[in-house]
Amino acid sequence: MYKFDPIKTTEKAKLLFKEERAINHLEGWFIIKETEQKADEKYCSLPPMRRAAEKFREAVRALPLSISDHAIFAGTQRDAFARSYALINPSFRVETFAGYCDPTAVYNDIDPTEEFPKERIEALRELDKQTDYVKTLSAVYKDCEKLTGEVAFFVEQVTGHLIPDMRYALKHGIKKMLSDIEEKQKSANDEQKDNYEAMKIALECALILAKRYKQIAEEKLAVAEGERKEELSLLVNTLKKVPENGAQTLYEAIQSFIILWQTMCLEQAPNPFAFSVGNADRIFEPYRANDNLSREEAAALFKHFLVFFNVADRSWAISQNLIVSGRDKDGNDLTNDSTYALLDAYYEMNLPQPILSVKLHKNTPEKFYSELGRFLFTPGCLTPSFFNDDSLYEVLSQAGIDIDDIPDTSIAGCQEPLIMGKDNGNTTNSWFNLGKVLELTLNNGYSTVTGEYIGTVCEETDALSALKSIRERFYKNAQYYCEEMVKAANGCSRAISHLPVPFLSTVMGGIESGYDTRDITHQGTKYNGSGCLIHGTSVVADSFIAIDKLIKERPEDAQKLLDALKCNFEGYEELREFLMSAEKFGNNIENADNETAEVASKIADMVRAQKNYLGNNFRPDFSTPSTHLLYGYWVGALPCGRKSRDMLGYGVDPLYGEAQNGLGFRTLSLMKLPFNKMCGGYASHFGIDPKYFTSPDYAGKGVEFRDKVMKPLFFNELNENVAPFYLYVNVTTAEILKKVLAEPKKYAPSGVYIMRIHGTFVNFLDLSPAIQQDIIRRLDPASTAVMC
Amino acid sequence: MDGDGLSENDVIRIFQKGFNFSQDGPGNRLVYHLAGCNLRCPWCSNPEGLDFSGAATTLGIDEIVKESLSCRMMFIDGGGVTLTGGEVTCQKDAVTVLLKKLRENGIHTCIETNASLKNCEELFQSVDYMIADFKSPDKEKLKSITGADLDTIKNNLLFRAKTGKPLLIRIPLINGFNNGEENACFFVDFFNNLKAESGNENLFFEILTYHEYGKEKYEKLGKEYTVNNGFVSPEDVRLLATEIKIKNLKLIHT
Repeated sequence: MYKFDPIKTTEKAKLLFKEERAINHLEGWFIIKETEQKADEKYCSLPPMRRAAEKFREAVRALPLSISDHAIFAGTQRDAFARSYALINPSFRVETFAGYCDPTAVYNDIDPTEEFPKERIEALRELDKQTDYVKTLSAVYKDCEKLTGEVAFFVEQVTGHLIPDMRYALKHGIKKMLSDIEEKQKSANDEQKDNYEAMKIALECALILAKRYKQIAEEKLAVAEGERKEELSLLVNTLKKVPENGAQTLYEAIQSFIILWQTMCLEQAPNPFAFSVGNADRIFEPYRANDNLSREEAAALFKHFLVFFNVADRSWAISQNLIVSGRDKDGNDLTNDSTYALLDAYYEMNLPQPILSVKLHKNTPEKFYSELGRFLFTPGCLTPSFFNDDSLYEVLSQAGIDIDDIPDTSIAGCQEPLIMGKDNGNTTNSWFNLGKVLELTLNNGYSTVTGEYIGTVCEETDALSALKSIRERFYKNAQYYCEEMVKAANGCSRAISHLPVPFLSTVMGGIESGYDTRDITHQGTKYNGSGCLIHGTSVVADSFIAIDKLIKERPEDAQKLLDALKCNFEGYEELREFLMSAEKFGNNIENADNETAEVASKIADMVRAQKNYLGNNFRPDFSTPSTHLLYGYWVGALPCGRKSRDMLGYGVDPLYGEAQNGLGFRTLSLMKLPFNKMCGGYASHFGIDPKYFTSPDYAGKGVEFRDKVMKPLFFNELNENVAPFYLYVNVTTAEILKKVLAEPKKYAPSGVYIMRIHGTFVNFLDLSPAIQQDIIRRLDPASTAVMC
Repeated sequence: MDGDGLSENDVIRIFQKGFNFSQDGPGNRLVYHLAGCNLRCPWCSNPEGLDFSGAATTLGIDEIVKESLSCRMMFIDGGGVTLTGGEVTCQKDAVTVLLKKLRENGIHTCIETNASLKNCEELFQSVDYMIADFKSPDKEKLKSITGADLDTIKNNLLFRAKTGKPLLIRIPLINGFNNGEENACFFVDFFNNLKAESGNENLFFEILTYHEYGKEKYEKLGKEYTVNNGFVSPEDVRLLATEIKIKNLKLIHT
């Protein structure tokens, strides 16, 4: 078999990425939607899943395909995405963000050209508006617009955000899956039989793609010379074999995976965000081992695999995630040779996508930390998110996941733990803004930002009584808003069920169940739930503590506080200073920390008790993927001293500036939170100054990082609670980032300077100014200082 | 919170606190920097802590004990509380009381000291782990540059060594002050004698190479930074390290 030269293969991967990054227009998604729309009438008599599959097959046949001269694999997910339909693109402005309430807003994302004139775009938009999906979703948004207008909560239909299990398809091929389905059809009911037909057609779509790519490769082969001829010959032969049949070599496995992934993403064009690979090292290791490839040889192939996840010039927020390492259910480490080969590929390519996550546990080998050192301490290099696998076992088993499934935990999107192939978590279904709920509670249902009446379920009373019963009043309103949010969120899930996903369903347990992953009456996937991202925990808790202080020391100023909040503390600076001097979360102060833990606990229970469209529980997720800015913009001044329109605390973190005593104290505060209740995930960030790490080399610094940061937080033998299970870091300083912004050519000659923002990493230079400043501000050096 | 209303022996003046792993004693430690120092080493990395007042906060001893207890969860891998400076022995009476109370509460204690003040025996005897600087074996140079008395330091180190408890001696290696072959021999002669005379198996040695962490702070404080090229060569380090190892002394890197 042709053997790839690692150095030349790496060069090609770099050229391939360069070529991809130069693409500044994306129309594939439009062609898919247009083709499907045209075919709609032809298949209108078929049951929904079947109709979706037939339309998808037409789209896959019509989609223009090509293979780059730098590519060693065939396939792209470029055609599955619109160009800038995402939160943190460079033109994004906090002030003008209007949420995703218009399901046809994506049509604004395509610039009219000769081939795609305005009329053609608008015609499709109008047709789309008539679909059941858009009509249902628009009605949901209309019903809750008063409550979402200033983001007391937000809801959305969830696309992507799942972890398909490709292992069976890689090993046995689509042919075997088709015969499995036929076997299942024998004992299926009528509805399942139809669904199975749909799944068969959807699987055939992957074969169509492979066949079409094979033809292109054959054409190129006919005129190729030298090494390229050998590469193309291998590609042709491989596409003849996979994904129809099982893969044997690493090359075949990657090629098969790419086609399967592409098919899955095309099915959800233009929104396949946050699909995740799962434990890529475990998925690919059997093939690498079978091939007996060296670390360097495997890394070279993985470099092309990683480039596949990059789409045009949009290096932001595709949020597709790949995880490595971790443990089995008995605590044994599962790091393997492919783990290190993948790390090498990541380090050398330093691409903005896909996101890298690592699962750590108390038996993670020191070598693994040594190898991570280079990521953490090379300026502008990507850094992984860290997950505590020991803790995940506890959290997920408490949430009802079978212990045998937990080794397959991975991350969908930013930090939401899901089980590969078995868990439809609808992770970003609902977004709860506790800061807004507190503002409305304090101001009798009126917004202090706009003066609009939004709502309260509490009786009006005098200022001092209202403040004395603030907790009771807040939780009462929170319950009301939570229930309204859940109604709307379930409406969104019903809307998206009008777009069945037969291909995805085949890798999400659909072959077993006979139902679509998005089905709202039958559960197609083993585990199901809906997510709720909870915002503002720390500002609410800090506000309660500040109110307590006011009641105790200056009860006569109760009304004054409410007046001050209405006018954003203007003319009340002294009162604001007083409130700011109250104890704050993040400094290991018992009172403030316990209050924050209680807010988190009560809200988590409230959310967890809610039921989704299938009667399964919602999952509390304390993550705020840049939405701490967006939702903060709609929250008025709060008693903790936070001013109107300022950001909320990020994830479970203290509001920037309020934790002043360094990393150890902040870690202690964090550890008091009820992580056992955060089965939907949570976010936390440390901005760490590299000067605290004194080892002479990256490997030593990596081990130092384990000892100074990860071990006290994650693997603390003295912590009797469920330990924290997520962290991302930026090892840098505000000064360094300001220099990068001022002189990008000097500090980032490649044009890429990777930073982490919430669960994803991004090219710092591509971000909008608001997000760049958020990253700088949240480095919050006083909160993470280490002695040295 | 401050310690107003408490007597001098019930309070500690600190200018900084935080956590560090293994570099200020074993395991993960809560480190208090005490304000005030009796010496004036030109390379000091914490010049903001030299004065007794300055940016210092006064904390009651019981307050520190309470805070330390609330941080217990962080004392992993044999960690605990470290008092450093400034110079801890400048507040030795209060420090002795504090260390005793911490130990009574089961918290492992450590101090970092220049060991240049007299009458600190009770303190040096009671602390679980002691880290001491040994800056120069040259009596005249040490006195003229830092203000320290070599004999007092030697006596203090010997006293601690004889308790049998752990003692880590750190040599801040500085070009033009204490580097070179001759100095290396003097250093090691003293260390060797210390080991022989005390019989202490828990003696450890560490070389700290010159850095300029303090330089910026001097500038911020409006003070002149007077060290001119204190950086030592790898050869200087190797030389001293080899001498230490030849004598079978325990050289460590924290």
